[in-house]
Amino acid sequence: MEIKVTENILSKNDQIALETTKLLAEKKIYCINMMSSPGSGKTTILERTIPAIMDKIRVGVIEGDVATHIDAERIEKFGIPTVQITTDKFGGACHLSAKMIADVIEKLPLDELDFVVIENVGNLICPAGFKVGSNADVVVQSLAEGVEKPLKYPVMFHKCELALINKIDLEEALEFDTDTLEENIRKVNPKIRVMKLSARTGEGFEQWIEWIKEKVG
Amino acid sequence: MHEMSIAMNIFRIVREKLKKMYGKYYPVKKVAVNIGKMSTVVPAALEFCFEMAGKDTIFEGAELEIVEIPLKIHCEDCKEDMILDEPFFFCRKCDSFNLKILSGKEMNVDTFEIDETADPITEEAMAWK
Repeated sequence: MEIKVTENILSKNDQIALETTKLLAEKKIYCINMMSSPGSGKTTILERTIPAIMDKIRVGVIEGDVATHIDAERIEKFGIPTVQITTDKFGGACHLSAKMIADVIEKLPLDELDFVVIENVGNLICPAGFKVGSNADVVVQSLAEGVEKPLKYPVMFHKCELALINKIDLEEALEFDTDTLEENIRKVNPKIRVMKLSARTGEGFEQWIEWIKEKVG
Repeated sequence: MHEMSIAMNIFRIVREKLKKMYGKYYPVKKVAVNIGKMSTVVPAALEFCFEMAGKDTIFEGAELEIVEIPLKIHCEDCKEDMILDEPFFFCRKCDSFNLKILSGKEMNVDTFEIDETADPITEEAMAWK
């Protein structure tokens, strides 16, 4: 006997993500989900971003580094609320699901925060499929990864409203064609906002900080 | 490799439906799913996970039918509908970026078939599966 269902396979994930979104809205918190491949510089970007905003914006971080506490320790040194999602020492998780976020979000002092950053697992495929309850999805790509990444991982770049091109201080050394990278990002997502910056030198950070201030309000 | 969690969610949806309809679980012969081109699911990987994770459950030996849904867009400027073979988001007719996605993001369990002549498994027995 054939039985009709027509249910979204990730409906449960979406439902949990929606509850997180509602909780954050209640607490008047703006939340971003930062995604990238490993080594693109998400944590380094945060290390430069947090001190630049923390006098005006109360920020908390959920670290999705699945196998170690290294990233969380790098963020905790600023004395801001940080929650680490730990799975195991073999780093088995390929993405953060809505439930993983919902399980830890209340460990953050939500009444005392304006802005929550979720640093997702370094992976350009799996995190693109799972909503976590954030208000905006942000993708980071560094020059060292090459110009073709957006074409190889179109779903990720299509889903995000902001792309941060990191490590532009390497442009000359790598003889990198940043215009082609930007063009490739826009091919898969014509509406995306693109910002070029260097977490190492601080170049290009003004517009990114401005974006956060605007969004957090 | 998130296809394993996709497979587990397919099992969950079918089980919930069976529980609602019968209060017990019949062996499943086939599950049909719709998978959009923009869903990041690799059909071969999903088939593998479905088969592996289904062992010793009501899904053992079940067929997984994957219907791939093309990426289809509507151009808000020239009003043309078209299927995109590559994930590059511009209208192939007028070059506009002003597009609406009509299909391609699907990830649904559509239908499933059970063998209602077989002995059903009760809720209690299911807990051991």
